[in-house]
Amino acid sequence: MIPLRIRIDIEGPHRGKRVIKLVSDLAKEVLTSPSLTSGNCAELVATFPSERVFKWGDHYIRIKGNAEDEIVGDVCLFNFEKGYADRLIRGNSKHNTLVVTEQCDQLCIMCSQPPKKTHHDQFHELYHACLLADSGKIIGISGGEPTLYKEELFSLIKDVNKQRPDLQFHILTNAQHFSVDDLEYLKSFRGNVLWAVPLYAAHPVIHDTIVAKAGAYERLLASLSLLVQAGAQVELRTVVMQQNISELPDIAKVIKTHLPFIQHWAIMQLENIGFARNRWSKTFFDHSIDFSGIAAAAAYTLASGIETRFFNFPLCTIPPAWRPYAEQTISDWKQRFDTPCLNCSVQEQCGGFFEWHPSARSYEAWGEI
Amino acid sequence: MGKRKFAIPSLAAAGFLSGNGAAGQPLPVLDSRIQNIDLETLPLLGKQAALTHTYNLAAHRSHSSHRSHGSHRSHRSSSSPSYSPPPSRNSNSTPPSSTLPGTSSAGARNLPGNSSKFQKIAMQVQTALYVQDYYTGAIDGIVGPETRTAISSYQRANSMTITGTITAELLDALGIQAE
Repeated sequence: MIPLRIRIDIEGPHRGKRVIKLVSDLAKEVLTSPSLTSGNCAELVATFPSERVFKWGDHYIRIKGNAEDEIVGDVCLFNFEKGYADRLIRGNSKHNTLVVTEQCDQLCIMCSQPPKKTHHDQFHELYHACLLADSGKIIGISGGEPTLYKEELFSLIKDVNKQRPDLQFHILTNAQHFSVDDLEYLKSFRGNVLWAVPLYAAHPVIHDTIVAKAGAYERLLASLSLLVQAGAQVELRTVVMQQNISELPDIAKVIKTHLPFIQHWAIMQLENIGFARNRWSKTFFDHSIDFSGIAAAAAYTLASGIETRFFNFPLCTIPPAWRPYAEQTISDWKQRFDTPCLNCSVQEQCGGFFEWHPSARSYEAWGEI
Repeated sequence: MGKRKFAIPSLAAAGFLSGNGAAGQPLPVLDSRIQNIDLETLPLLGKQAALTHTYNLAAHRSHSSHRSHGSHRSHRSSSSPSYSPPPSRNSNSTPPSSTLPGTSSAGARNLPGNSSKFQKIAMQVQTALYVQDYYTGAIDGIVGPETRTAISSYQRANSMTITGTITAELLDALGIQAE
């Protein structure tokens, strides 16, 4: 696992939090990114096996941890009092997500990140982090449900977009909170945002049961209409479970008839964490035993000209003909390869397993290719 | 003719000699004994074997398990480490000025640790590079562009990996023991 929180040490009267980018050579970086300054950047001045020293203004910050972790290029939120920094946007990673809130109005049965009641507002820090991101980054935004703080979220996107039009956002949302009044906002940054919206069933009752919210399905479809009106980019996501495996062909039909404007449909495997950990035996659907429902659904949408992809599916668990549609979607920091993977000829193209994927209750059919 | 004896007060002032006493005894700054420093023991001759850098002490690997704390979540599973806020809330829209470099705030809590030890090491490096004509700037412990250039030149001249930063290899080559 890649550590996302690192221990820091700085001497002197530093309090509160601060967004700082770790750079190797500030003088060079400034040439391409004029927004970088000695106030928001710390420059690497020393490397030792178990720690590195960065110069921030007139101060030295020591960052502990294995010098082989590539932290130069990261945008970090430093918490001086607590002595740590969170790597918000890692320079060397394609997988960066900012959590804007942990509150949510749905309670999905397999939620990988169960919601919390309280909200810690960090939009200001996240805004500054975005401004320091490397050029062309895709920044993920997640929760909780980010649109619970719609006003702040829209401001964040708009303000960042104004300064950094090169950045793209990939925002996870349950699409329960869009209204007609949002159309102008949605239009204004539609080219820079991909909205990732979950749809778990073709039948309202089943979807509402999975997300534990009555009326969620109706609201979802209404919001999708608004998104298409705004010309927004949408990724539909369906996590496959025992609860909805039989729904897949019908979901495919709903997508073709009602939602053909989407960018792509992501059929996703379950992650053994959060609520899904305790409900694994009642939710996990082993597609390595029976891929027919998934194949039928994917064949239908693909034939309809709708991009369809498998997220979080290890290649060896998929019939060979379908492997080209599997994406390497498991984030680098929680990706795992087991022993049989080491000799596998397609490991480099495979997303592997989640770090916390249970070996004992895993896929029936898997192994090196 | 006996060995030449040297006194280079600035070296001692920079703490440069302290890690290099023949018997491992640090020399007090401006102590009269610096009159008797043996040239052969000066690090600039580069005769030292690899030294132990106790500066590398802080190998905090306690973070090997990252699942347990809140900033590593998995919601956005197609792509993403995620960040979740620590419990203490900073509602200020502007960071407190005391977090800005170069400011100070009486009463603020100092963190445990010893970052300033690094400044001393930086001064030792500057001094060593100064006496070998790689560096001409101030011995101030501030690793700025001049120091970095000097380090790069030294590394190039000695067939080391050119980083422009202080490394354990550099300290060994300069005979600086970090502690």
